Amino acid sequence: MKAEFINPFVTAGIKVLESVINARPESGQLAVRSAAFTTQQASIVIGVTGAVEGQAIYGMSLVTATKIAAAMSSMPAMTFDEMASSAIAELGNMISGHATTLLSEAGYECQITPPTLVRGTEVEIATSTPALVIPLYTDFGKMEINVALMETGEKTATAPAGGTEEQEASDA
Amino acid sequence: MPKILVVDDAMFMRAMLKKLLTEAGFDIAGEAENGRVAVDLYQELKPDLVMMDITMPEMDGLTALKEIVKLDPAAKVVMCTALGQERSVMEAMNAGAKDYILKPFNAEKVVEVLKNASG
Amino acid sequence: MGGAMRTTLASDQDLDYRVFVKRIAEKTGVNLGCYKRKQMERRLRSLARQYGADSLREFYARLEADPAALEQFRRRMTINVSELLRNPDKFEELQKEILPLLLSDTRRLRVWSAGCSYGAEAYSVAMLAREMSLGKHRISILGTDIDQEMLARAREGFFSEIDMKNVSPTRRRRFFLAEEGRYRGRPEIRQLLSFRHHDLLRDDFARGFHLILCRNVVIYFTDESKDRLYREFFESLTSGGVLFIGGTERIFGAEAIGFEHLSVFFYRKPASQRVGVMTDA
Repeated sequence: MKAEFINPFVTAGIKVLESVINARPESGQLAVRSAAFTTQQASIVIGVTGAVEGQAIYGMSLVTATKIAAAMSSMPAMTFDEMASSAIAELGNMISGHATTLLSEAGYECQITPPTLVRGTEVEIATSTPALVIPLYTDFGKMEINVALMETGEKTATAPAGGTEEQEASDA
Repeated sequence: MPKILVVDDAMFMRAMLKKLLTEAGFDIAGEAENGRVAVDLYQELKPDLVMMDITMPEMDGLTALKEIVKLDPAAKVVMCTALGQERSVMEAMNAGAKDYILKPFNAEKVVEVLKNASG
Repeated sequence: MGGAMRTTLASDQDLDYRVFVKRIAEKTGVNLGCYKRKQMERRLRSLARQYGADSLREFYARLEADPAALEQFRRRMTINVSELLRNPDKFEELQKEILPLLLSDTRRLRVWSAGCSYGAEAYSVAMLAREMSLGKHRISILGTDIDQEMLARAREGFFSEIDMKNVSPTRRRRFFLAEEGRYRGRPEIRQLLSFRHHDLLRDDFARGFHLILCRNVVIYFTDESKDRLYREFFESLTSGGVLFIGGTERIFGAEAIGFEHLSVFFYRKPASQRVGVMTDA
C-alpha cells in the first residue's frame, strides 16, 4: 500500500479531534503491522470502497474512548454506554469522511461504509492488507490510526494512471 | 421559537444537536433516525424547520427532503453532512433545501444558519 | 497528495462557491457560473473580505441584508461597463479646479487610480492631464486592481463605443485610434499609464501621489476598512495632494484624518509649510 494513503487519515484525525476536544493532537511515528493484529479495547472499524479499498481502524483504550466521548458530549464524565459508543462511532465516521474526501480530491474516488465499534480485550482483527499505523497523542490518551488500503485500479477521469504524486495547491 | 425536527442515524449526533439547539433557544419538535421516520414525523408534528443528515439507512436525507418538499413546498430543510458530499448537497439545494451545515458542527454557525433559514 | 497537511477541503470551498452562485442567480438573475471559475472565485472572495465576510455564505447574507450593496454588486458583476469620464461634470471639476492646483505646484504629476478595472478612469485622467499640462510636466498614472483579467484588458487599452460615449470627437481624434469599432489609446496617453495588481486590503501602499482616485470599490468595505483605507491614502498623498472619491460616498471623520474638504468628492491633504525646496517624490 502506498505510504501516502495514511496521510489523509492523519490530517483528518488531527482536524476532527481538534474540533471535538479543543486540543491539537500530536502525531507519532509511522509503523507497519501485519494483516492480523490485536485491537485496542475500543476500535472503530470503517470500510473503504472505490479506487482504494480496505479498512480504516481507529483504536484506543476504553478510558480514552470514554474521555473523548465525554468531551464530544460536553460532559465532565460519562460511562461507556450506548451514547458514548455512538459518539465514538461518529468520530470514526467524521474522520473517515474527511479523509476519503481528501483521497477523492487527490484522484482516488472512494466511499466509506457505516462504522462498527469493536469492544473487548484480546480481540484479533484481520485486515485485507498489512496496515500502516500512526498514533495520535491527546491529553485523553493515544488513538491509533490503522489504515490498510489497496488501489483497485478504478480511476476517476481526473487521475492519470498510477495516481498523482503532486497535487496542485487549491486556489482558495 | 422555531420548532425543529432533528434527523440523523447516529444517536450521539441527535443528542448533541438537541443540546446545542435547546441551549440556543430553539424548541425540539422531535427526532428521527432515518428518512422514512422523518417524513412521517414531518406530517405529524409540522415542525418549522428540519435538520436532515444525508447518509442514513432505509431512506437517505436527499430522498426524504424530496418527499417532504412534495408534501409541503414551503418546508424549510437544512442538510447536514460530514463528508465532502458536494454533489448531494447541491442536489439537495436544487431540490429545495434552504441551506447546509458541515460536520463537525460549529455551534455558532449552526445557530446562524438556522436563524437565517427560519427567519 | 504528497503528505500535504491541508485541512480545508477543496470541496467545502467548492460548496461555498456553488451555493453562492446559485443564490445570486436566484436573487438577481445574474449567472456568475458562466465565468471562468478560478478568476470569478478569487474576485468574489476578495470582495467578500472587503465586506468583512470570510466565506461566500457570509458575503451573501450581507448582500441580502443591504439592497443598495446588492444592486451595486449586481451591476459590478454584469458586463463591466465602465465608461471614460464617468460623471462628466465631476471630471470637469477635476480638470478645471483640481488639476490646475496640482500642476502649478510641481513639474511632476503622479496619479493613482485605485480599483481601475479595465482602465477607463486612468485613461480619462491621462487625457485631462495632457490637456492641462501642455507638455510641461512629467506625468505618470498608475492603475491598480485586484482582478488580473481586468488589468490585462487595461494594458491592451481597447474601449468600446459605449465606453467612449462621454468622450468628445475632438478628444477621440487626439487621443485615440479607431480600430474596427473599438478605440485604442494613442501612444501619447498610453505611455503615461502603467497597470499593476494591488489588493487594497493587504498590500502596502506606495507614496508620493499628487492625485488618487478611488471611486469604484469602497461600497463593499466595512466602516473599519474604509477608515483604514482613507488613512492610508492620506499617507500616500504628497502634501497638497488630492483624493477623489466616488458618487455616493463621503469620508466620515475626514478632518480627524487630516483632510481638508475641498468640495463634495475632493479631499485635500493640506500643503505643509515649505522649508526650502519641495522635492518631487
